[in-house]
Amino acid sequence: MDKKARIYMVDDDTYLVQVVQWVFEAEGYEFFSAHCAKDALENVDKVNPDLIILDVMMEDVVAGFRVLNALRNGEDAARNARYAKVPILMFTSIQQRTKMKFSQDAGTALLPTDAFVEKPVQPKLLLEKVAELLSKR
Amino acid sequence: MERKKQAPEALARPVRPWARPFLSVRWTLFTVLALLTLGGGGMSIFLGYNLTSEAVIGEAQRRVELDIMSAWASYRHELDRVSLVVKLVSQTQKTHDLLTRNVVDRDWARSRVEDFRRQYGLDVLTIVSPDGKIVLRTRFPYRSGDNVYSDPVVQRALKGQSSAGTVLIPAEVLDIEGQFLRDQAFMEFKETPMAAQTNKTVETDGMMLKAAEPVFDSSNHVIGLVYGGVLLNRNYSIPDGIRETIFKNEKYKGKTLGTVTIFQGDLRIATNVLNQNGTRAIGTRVSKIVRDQTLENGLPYYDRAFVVNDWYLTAYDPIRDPDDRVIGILYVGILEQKFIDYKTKLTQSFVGLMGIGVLIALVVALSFAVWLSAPIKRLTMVAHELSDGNFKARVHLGREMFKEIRRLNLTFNQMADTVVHRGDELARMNAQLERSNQELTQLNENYMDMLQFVTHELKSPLASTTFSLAAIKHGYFGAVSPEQLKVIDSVEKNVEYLNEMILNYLNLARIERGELDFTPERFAIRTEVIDPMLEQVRRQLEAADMTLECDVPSGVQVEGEATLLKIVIDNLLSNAIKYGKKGSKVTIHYELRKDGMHRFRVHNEGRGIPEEDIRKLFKKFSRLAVSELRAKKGTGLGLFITHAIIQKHGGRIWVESKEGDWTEFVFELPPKMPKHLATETPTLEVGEATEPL
Repeated sequence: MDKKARIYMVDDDTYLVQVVQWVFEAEGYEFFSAHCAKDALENVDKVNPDLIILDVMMEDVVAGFRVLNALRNGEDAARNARYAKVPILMFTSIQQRTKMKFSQDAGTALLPTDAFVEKPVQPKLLLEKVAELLSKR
Repeated sequence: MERKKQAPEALARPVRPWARPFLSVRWTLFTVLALLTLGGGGMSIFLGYNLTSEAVIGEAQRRVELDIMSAWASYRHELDRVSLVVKLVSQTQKTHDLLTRNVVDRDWARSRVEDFRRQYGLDVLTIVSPDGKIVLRTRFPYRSGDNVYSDPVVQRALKGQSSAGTVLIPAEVLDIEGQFLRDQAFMEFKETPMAAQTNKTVETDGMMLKAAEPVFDSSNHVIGLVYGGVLLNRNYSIPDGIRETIFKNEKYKGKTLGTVTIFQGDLRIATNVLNQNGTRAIGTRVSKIVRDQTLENGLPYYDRAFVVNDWYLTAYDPIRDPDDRVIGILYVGILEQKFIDYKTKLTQSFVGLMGIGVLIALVVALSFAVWLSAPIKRLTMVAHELSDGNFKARVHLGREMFKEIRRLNLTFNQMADTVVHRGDELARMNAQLERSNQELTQLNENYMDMLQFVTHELKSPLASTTFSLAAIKHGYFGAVSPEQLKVIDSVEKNVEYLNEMILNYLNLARIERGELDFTPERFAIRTEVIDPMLEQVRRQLEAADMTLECDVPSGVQVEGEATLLKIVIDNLLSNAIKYGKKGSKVTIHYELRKDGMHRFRVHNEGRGIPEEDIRKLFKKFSRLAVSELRAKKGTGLGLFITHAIIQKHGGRIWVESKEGDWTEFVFELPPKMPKHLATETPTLEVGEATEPL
């Protein structure tokens, strides 16, 4: 890493966030976090992340999607444009529960996400995926 | 339970196919009665006909036999008359005078005797002297002086005896006896069918009723004799008289009913049998069979016979001369037609009466059959009604005629009561069962909801635990000693197991709730399903020191739901790794079947699965029973879920294994998913294999 990338993790599982933070900081990332969609949307501009790790089920079952849509398909076009360039990685176990099929393709209108990582995950895998997304940027 | 289920079926199955009944009680009963009636009627008609014929014809024949006796009486009466006339003449003074003295005026005396002869209808009346010389003939040309001593009748009279009988008179004697007698006797033969063969063509002799009386003087010496006679040839007064006496000239259909004939030999010489042209049938002859019986054998012939034109019931008696030689036949016959008609009429009326009787009997038989079978029919109708769902249907009691039927009806009603009662009970129990089933389903649903909630809630902490453990292991939080690493590995494995279990429970919940519905899509199974899974199990493989080979071409397209098929591949691969031999190879082999099915074989080397375990494999909570393998921990749900998913795709899955050597899970997917499957909830029974293995 030539430059310290800023990772913003949004997840209601504070223990997980804590461990992930340790791992990412150990790898030299700058790490920020939020525990609900509301917090995330309020603070995301202040954090100005290079990459967002986003959980789906938080205060309600689609909180993550709400965040995602607010960032990329929101009312503020400038904001949409800005976050279109920030990779968003969905980090979730939702696929086991719903019948919804997620597109793995970035930029789709419905779920404009860049990658999916299924919980649980090995730290190594998550790090790899993050590095990959950042290098594509 | 099983036995009860089969019992009615066993009853309904025909035990002996040929014994399937096709007769009805009613028609059988009627048929039997009808056959009896018809048989009896037929027999009666047959017997009646025969008896009637016997009676009528036999009676007629007997009458003819009586008639011939009457005929004989008349015939003898005629002979007696001749005798009487002869006797009268023999006792007159004039005869005495003629035989004793020659002083009598011969011409006067002759004319007086001739008058007498004519008066009494005799053809000849002759006075003979004791030496056989003719003293006087009373018929022109009144020849006398010739000797007739050789005549047996004359000889007997000269010995002082009266004598009478039928005799044959030769033609030359007829000539001598008087004028016309020969002409009266002369007869040409007429062609007669059935008569005996003969060379003769004419008959010149005559046949005569002849009587002779001796004439005695005062001292009782025979001084001569008188004989007289009636020539029978062409003498119709005798047969006509007999007929008059017997038959009163009765006619039948224009024909004379009775006929009488006198035969000379076999020749009809005096008769009232008529030819076709209505003339008397003289000159014809009797049939050979009668001739043989009477003339040859001297016996009477009583039977039906064909006489000239018609069939007659007849009696032929031989006529004998005083020397007992058969010289002719006396015949009496009655037209058979009358009796045949009578018989026919009698038979007809008998048959008619019999027919009416039989008809009445048949009607009675039919009513009887209907009446007798009616209670059975009533019972059947009630049984039908009952089986059609009218549970109130019962047989009316109290109208039965027979003990058996009453008992049957009673039993039937009791049975109906029992059946209806049982049915009600069954319905009640069924409703109860349904209720508790619903409750159970509700309970199960609630349970599944809870299960899903719990497992999901478990997932989150497990996710962070996994992550944390891995982070520690990889030294993010400082160096880890080998002892610590061992502990971490152990904890990691347990967490992994927990995670897998939760995953399976989640899938199970989806299956149980029927949430497997999806819209099938076509995709490349290699890139969409297998490769991501290979990626996922890479670490597991490495940990087990195993390698994996996969020859599924990337062009293979299947139809279905990738996420679900991922679960299948995940389960099978996890299994293969879990139960595989350390350091061995796992292979996924692809094969396109001839029927278009995509076949996948997931193969691993290892202990294999015992035969008896293979059946249990796909059950919900089965876990391979090998204790050593149990240490590797499986939830037992994985294969059940796999099976359900494959089934949902219209495919099938089974296991092949060689114990102690290898195991192979084989599944097939159809080229195109059957339409109905994707939206149908598979009916999976808890704890039951759903596919025969």
